[in-house]
Amino acid sequence: MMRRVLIANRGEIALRIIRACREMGIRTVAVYSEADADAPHVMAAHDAVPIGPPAAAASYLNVPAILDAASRTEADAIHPGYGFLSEHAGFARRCEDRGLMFIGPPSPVIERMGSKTAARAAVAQAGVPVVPGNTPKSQEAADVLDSLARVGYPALLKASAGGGGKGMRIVRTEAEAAEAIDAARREADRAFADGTLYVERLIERPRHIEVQVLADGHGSTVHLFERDCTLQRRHQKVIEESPGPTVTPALRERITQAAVAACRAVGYVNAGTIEFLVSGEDFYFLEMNTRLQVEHPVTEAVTGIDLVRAQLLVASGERLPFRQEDLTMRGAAVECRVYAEDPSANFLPQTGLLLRYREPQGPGVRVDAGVREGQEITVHYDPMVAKVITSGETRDIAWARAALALRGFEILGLRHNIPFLLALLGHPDVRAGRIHTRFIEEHLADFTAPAGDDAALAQVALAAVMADAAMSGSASPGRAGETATGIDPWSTFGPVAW
Amino acid sequence: MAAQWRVSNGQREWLVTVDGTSVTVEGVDGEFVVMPRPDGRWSITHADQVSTASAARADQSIWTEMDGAGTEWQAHPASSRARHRVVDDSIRSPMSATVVSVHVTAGSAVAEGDPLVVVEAMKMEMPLRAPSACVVKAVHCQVGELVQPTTVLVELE
Repeated sequence: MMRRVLIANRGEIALRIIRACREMGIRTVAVYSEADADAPHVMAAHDAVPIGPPAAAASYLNVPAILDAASRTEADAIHPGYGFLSEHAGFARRCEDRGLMFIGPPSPVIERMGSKTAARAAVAQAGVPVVPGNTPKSQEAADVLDSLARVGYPALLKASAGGGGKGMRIVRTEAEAAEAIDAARREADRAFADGTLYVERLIERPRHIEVQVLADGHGSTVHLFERDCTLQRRHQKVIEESPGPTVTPALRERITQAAVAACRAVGYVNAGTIEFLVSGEDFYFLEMNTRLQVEHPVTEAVTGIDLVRAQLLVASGERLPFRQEDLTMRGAAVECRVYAEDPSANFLPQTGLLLRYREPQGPGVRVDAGVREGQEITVHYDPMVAKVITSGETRDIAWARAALALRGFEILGLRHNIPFLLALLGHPDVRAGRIHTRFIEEHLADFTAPAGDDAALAQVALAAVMADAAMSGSASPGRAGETATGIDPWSTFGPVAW
Repeated sequence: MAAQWRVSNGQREWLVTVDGTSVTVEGVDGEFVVMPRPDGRWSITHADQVSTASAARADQSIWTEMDGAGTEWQAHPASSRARHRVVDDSIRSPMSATVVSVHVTAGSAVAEGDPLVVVEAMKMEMPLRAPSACVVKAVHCQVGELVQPTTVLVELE
């Protein structure tokens, strides 16, 4: 077993990995940018090493600095988390070259599955259905246009190195093509330093269903069933659940077998996810994520398997401690991603100080977050604040717990998407599972309505009291000495500044 | 002693009178009784309805949260002359961001929804679009520039 793991990431996923390591008696090393010097993941690790300025390119993507931190702290393994360097084959190779365990698949597998075209070819050969597509002869705009014409409109332009919807554009007519090619290439270039594009047929109104897999280095590959991640906005997942509410036992059998076959075909090792577009009972391979997913807790909730622990075991060369027939799904789970973004202003990312931050608790409620009260949410990184994962014996119970947890989540100091998540959870089509990947875009007005008057007026009254107390700067008339818990809202007031 | 406040959420303004725990809002019947709770939150009672909310004060504003929905408020003494943000013909970035592209120059005629400037923050590109058909009066930013919400990027006529 590894002794000391460097976590090349930040935020909630770094905390998640640190926790799993500590449970297994493994020492942990955090790395951090100048913007994260007092971030929770830095506090949680045994050791922490600064790796550069706030910009991700200079810190969390800074391969030499991270490798240097690993050697200085004598780490023998690196966990990349998700995002950043997690699917960077060159980084994995450099770890391997230095004798560092890279907690993920071998670098040639990352490289192959990271190229969407190579991945498609590899899984198609294993008999897994793929979306019809075309790779341009060259990256000249004329050749990309030619590929679009061959596939036919509406088509989807995608970044070969892409993920998370970056560098992706729907092209409905030839007239939109030139502008879309430019925009997709620019976005891909900036996000992945690789503007290579390819073209796929657009499958209209599909669901996004993915299969979690785990493979060890001893020939065992298992799946951990599916997650339905159909609720997306601009290709960013918003709410994910398991089991898929529309997945029949027959489809589950076929899609999970296809995922396992795809993994075996490419010699996959460690945790991974095969994403499919599903239309009716038909499914098409979309891409493989050769890493831990943001939404992995949903699978953990329904299978009871700790995926990060499994990753650490497999990376250490051990066998998976369970077989396929040991794995079952129990009940249902749903994850809501809380983002610092303003649903009423086109979801613009928000920055600000977390003036008050209190996570919900309760049976079947898990909150994975990497922030704390008093922390600044900056412009430098992903705007995800927290993941709220709820589970229960049935989907209805899991969803009721999600709504209750979100309503009780106190986040003050910046705008966030909890009202939007609550509107989604309560929407009849979402409840019934009658959705597709563009559902949010098509029904946006249903989810971004402002709060009713009564709630607004109560808060107007409260805001005025807050202002008044700040102005008078003294004890409040409503206060009767110290409260039983010692928490006194009035004590949060500082001197008046307006 | 009662004090009067003008409280705004940026879209609407209310005239509010605060007298200890008793609050009245102009145009609304009945009083709101606002009391701190032992858990650090607040209870607001109005017309026999009790709601629970959180509140916190930032440098320039007050935040409240109820049932998962947060709102930022500006509050000024009713006697103060300070006025709230006026809607004007200036295009600003909604947050600290980098200018990715500039699509107009002074004198450009634009249609409603046309992209004027594209900014990027948190790895996301955001087009800033014309609110209505108009002519660009001046452009005050360039590609690569880091801009703040206070920076006027484009002026419209």
